[in-house]
Amino acid sequence: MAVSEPDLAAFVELVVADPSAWPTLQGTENGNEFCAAVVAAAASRGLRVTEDDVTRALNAARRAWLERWV
Amino acid sequence: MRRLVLDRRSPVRRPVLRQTIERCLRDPFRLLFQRQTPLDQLEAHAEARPPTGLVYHLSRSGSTLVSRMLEFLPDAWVLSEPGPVDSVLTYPAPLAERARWLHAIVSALGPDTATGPYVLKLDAWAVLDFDVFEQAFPDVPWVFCYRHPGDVLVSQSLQGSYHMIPGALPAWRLGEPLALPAQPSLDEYGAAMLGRLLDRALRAAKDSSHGLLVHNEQLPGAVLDRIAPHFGIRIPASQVDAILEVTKWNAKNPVLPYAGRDRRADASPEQVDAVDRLAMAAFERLERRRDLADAGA
Repeated sequence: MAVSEPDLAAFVELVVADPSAWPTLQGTENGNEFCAAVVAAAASRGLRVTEDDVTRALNAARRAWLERWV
Repeated sequence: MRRLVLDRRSPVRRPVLRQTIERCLRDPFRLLFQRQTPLDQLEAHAEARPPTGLVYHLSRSGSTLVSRMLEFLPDAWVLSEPGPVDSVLTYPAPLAERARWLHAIVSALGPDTATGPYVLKLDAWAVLDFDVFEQAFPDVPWVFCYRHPGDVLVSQSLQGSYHMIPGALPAWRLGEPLALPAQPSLDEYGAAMLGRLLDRALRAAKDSSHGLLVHNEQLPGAVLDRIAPHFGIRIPASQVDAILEVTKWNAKNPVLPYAGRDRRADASPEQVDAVDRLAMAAFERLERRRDLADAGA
């Protein structure tokens, strides 16, 4: 999935490569809680990610799935 | 993460893989951290995992019941209508290239460890690409589930599948154009499509030594006494009751009890006529082939 914001894209790659980081981000289907967890986890790695960045990336991924055959 | 998505015990598991993925994509973690793998990398990395058996079908013929029953076997890995498989078949590349990609994607979707059977239930139109599957998996046994095309057409007219929409499947996937009147009705197009799928299944049964034709009336018993042995799957006696429990429920919507019945009693005169002209000859040829094969079994 393409993530446009550079710090969020870097965070996604860090997390995918590090399964020990997953538990703190898994387990909620609440979008607000998830965004807050991503922002905090990114900040702990020196990356600046906003909740708006995460929301936009999630919406882009939802749209990509809906449009996959369009 | 994949194990969480595909394991049959997972609470997000649904009868068809697309539904499972859509359920998973409600989870923002899976949505944000999903992966994409280019086909050439897939070919380079996918370890060969040929399936144990392939399930082709005419639609509305019991194939979902077959896959639901088999997935209750210990360590079974059963995928139903996986979209990525259809995606590689849809790409208009030469047959050999599509077969290579098919081999790679089926292997990539396979189980992490090959301890149990790996069964793929395909889309109804996959039998059009039988030659591609044969090149990718020449020794893998297959079954084709079908029933009277009148039953299928009536069911499809209530809730239609992708391949029954005129123009949805690209013309090159059909081979010869469907034999249709000018300005065909939806019923005529659907009946002709069913006739084509039945014809392809007959050709496959003639060309291949490892196919099995299964009429809907033979289910669910045929899963235990025909399909599993054909796939080389041994069903422990201790599992039979659990597998048969599945048959009490609607295969595609397992919160509802099973209420199967012949649909063609509800067919309109136009549907009866379309099936008679465009699908019945192919159905009767396939039935004769099944009778011959069953007599020789």
